[in-house]
Amino acid sequence: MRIIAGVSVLDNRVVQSRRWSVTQAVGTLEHVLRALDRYEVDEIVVNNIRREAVEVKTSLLASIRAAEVFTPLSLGGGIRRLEDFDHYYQASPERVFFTSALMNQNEELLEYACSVIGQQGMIAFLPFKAHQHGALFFNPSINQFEPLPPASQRLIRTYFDEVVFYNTEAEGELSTISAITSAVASIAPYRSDQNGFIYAGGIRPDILDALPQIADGVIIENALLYQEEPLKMRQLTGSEIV
Amino acid sequence: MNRVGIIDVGVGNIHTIERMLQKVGRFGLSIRRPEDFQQCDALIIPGVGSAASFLSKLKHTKLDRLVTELSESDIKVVGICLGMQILGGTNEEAEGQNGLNLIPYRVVKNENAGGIPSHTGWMTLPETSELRQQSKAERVFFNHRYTCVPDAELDYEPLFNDSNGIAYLHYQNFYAMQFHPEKSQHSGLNIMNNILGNL
Repeated sequence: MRIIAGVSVLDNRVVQSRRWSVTQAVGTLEHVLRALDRYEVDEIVVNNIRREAVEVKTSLLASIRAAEVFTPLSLGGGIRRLEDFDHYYQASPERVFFTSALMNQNEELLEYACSVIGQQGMIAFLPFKAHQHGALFFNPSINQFEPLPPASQRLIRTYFDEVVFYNTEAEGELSTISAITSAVASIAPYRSDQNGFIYAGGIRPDILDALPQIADGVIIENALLYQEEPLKMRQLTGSEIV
Repeated sequence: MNRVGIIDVGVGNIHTIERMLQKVGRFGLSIRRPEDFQQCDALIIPGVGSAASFLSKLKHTKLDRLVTELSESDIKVVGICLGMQILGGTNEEAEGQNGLNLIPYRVVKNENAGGIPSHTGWMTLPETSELRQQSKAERVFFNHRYTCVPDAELDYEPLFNDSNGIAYLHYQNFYAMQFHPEKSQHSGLNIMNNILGNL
């Protein structure tokens, strides 16, 4: 499994969040990206929490460029218009991820983005919470969890490469293996052989060795990635400092 | 400092390629039309995007002719991911367009080569591979849904990846790589430095 570092950003500061709520800032984006790149984590996912303000996105892109990372980088958050996508694409991310456009079936935007970056560069980012009948997925446009529409599932198969299932209730927590496998089971109906599968939420570094192959990759979210945590990532990935 | 041209048709990860070149002591120069290449010692065709869009823009800017002309020279041409794929022939992603037919391979969906639809992740280079031995690279990063497969019996020996496609190929003055050196951390830098080392 790929070990992916998840980084949430608010106003150009990397923030910790727990159960889908921001708790505290932990450093500048440039600093955190440089650290993760130095420790050679497998991939980095940067999620811009702020949903508006072009100037915020501009400073975010400047930080990404300044960090000069040579690690695969995925970028997203608040992409609802063609201009939003174009803006993010200027940072030369390996991949771009979408939530709102997918939940609201903005096919024009998805088709455009796919034609520019290619399907291999398209990630569906689905924050979810387990529900007695399966799972509910977060729709940022209405700020609510709702069932995943069948039309959105079709769009995933048509335009996307991988799907990130982000367990919001476990974010920032230290989940047990049984809790993780249970959460993975709740989203099983939404998985497709055509798409890679990334799981996030409550994955802590010290259980990775014991964790079964639950997905193509797992994201260790930002709550666990500040200060000394990159050192643990380094030990886990077996990578050496350049 | 050597100048390395980077094909720039508005798609592809130009900035990361530029940074990679800086890191290995070269200067990246954006190539938007054939005349821009006159001062360059090598050419990189970058690799993020879709084949149809990339090929159309390449033809519109006449940069396809530049690449074809370079095949008659000893100037090094590096094709990365999509930039590798457009050097081949038929292309299942390109909506009826063919590649530049400069290297005898074709581009098919991963699953049509026996791989999984989405091949994303790292590959540890075999210790016996020339690429690893020459560049001291250890692992490289892939992200692709289409892959290059040889057309026929060939006079070259490619390195294959675990999606049964060509991972790396040195063919005449072309260096074609399905993986992303600009995203492969110190291994990617070593590979690029090794290729560009003898300019």
